[in-house]
Amino acid sequence: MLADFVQTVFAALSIGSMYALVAVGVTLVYSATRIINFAQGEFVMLGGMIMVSLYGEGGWPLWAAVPVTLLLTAALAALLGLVAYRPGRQGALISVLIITIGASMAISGSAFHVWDGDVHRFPAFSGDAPIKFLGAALAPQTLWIFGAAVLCIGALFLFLHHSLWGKAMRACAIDRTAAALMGIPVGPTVLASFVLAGLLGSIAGIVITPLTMVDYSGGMLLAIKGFSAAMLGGMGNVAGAVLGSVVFAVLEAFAATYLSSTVKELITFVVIILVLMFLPNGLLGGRQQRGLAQEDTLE
Amino acid sequence: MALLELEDVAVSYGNIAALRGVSMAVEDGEIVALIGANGAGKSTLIKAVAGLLRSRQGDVRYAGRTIKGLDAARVARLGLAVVPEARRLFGAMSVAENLELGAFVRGGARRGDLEEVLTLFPRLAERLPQKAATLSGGEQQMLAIGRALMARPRLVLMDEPSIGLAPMMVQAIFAAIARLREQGRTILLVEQNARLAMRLADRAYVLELGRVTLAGQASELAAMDRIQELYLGA
Ligand SMILES: Nc1ncnc2c1ncn2[C@@H]1O[C@H](COP(=O)(O)OP(=O)(O)OP(=O)(O)O)[C@@H](O)[C@H]1O
Ligand SMILES: [Mg+2]
Repeated sequence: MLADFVQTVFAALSIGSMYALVAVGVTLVYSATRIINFAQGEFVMLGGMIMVSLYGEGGWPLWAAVPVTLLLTAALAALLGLVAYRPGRQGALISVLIITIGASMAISGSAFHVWDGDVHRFPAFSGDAPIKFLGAALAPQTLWIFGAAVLCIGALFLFLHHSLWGKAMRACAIDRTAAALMGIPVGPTVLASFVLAGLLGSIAGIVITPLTMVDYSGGMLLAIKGFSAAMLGGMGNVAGAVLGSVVFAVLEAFAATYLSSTVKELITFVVIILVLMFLPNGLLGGRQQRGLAQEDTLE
Repeated sequence: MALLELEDVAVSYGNIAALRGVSMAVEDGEIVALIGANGAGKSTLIKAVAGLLRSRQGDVRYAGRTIKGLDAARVARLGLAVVPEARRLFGAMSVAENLELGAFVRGGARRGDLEEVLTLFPRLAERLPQKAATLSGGEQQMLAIGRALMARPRLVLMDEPSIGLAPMMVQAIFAAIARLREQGRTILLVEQNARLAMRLADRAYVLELGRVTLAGQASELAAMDRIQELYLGA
């Protein structure tokens, strides 16, 4: 059935866009700090929840609600960066992991108290009247989601590869000591990578909530999905994170349509376990960024 | 007043004392060689000046102000560039990007910056889009020096720029340093290759087990029996 197929592609499009925003955030923080940030999904949840209050219930116009939402989540992301990242700390990988998992639980727990345990949504930005295409129905919000992902990830890519500060951020990821010797303020630059990642998550939450709805507890699963997608593509690699997200979204969407939605979740975890076992560097792992020397003397 | 002054600098790694009260100076426009055996503390001294390590006593002064306690990025912004031990290039980034980051302290490269470095090292010109990690050892060293020069520094610290290179490449690197000397640059040159370093330098210091044991005009030091025996292999 063509209509089913097209419908599934639409589903993959919006899921993939959301995963990509989360996965790129995970990979960005990882490459700057070697920290796997399991709190990344919470920014999606917060983006959605804050918009529920401001835009959905508060009646703020979009142009006011979105910047304030971004500002609040960015501030929280900076706070997380300050707590999780200590330059010069070595051999504390597991404790940092626990910090990000703890932060994830703290954020979702606080969200439960600030809001409640219910599922929320707010109206789609361009209404709910579906666009008919080859017998399938496309929610207009899907275009917002896809557009936001392409725009944000594209902008991030341009920033990282074509601006001095973006290059400085990549330099910090490769070799902090050498970056410091270039005069790059390493600490603030690394913090900026946390903020950018938080913003990507928040944007995902803002555009996806009209379709998927949001409650306080959704962050951790999303973070695991984002981590899996980043891992599949090759951790530390922006293009890899996008590729991994597309693969997962297609697998999940088609499994949901042609098998069942319980199989869908199973597939993600089977794939990620296979990747961790047999392809630990991911699909694009060969091109992972590495410095020439990693001896770290910076305190 | 000297451009760079170290006064009674001491650095330890845990219980290991790497520098035990070192005093030395580099004047504006001078090339100063610092020679010493493996483990003498040469790299430690460079790191202590660059802000990567902190002296627990004494002082480090640069251009009339103390820089002891400043972090490496601040020191770099004062116009002090380092060609670090093991080069520490950004291997996954292109040659052009490495050079551009060298100019980070000045908000990015200006017209003429790149041309100047490429005149000094024409080999880098053909390799601008290439990843730094794919360069040969000698080319990597050229890039490390070029990256430092992109900052238009007032003082360059070089940590063993000729180490591990084939004789041809060693010649090329020293020829470049000789050009920099003609331009009147100020360089603190740490070298294993004492013979070549002493030939280029105005003055030299000998570091042994974390202490300066000899200092003076490079030509006079090079003529001393003790130096001949220990460092010039005569
Ligand atoms: N990170 C470190 N931890 C512990 N000890 C160190 C460290 N770095 C250097 N040392 C010790 O400090 C002393 C001086 O080391 P340094 O690297 O400054 O010597 P160097 O003169 O640069 O030697 P080389 O010519 O081999 O580069 C050595 O005894 C070395 O073993
Ligand atoms: Mg050394």
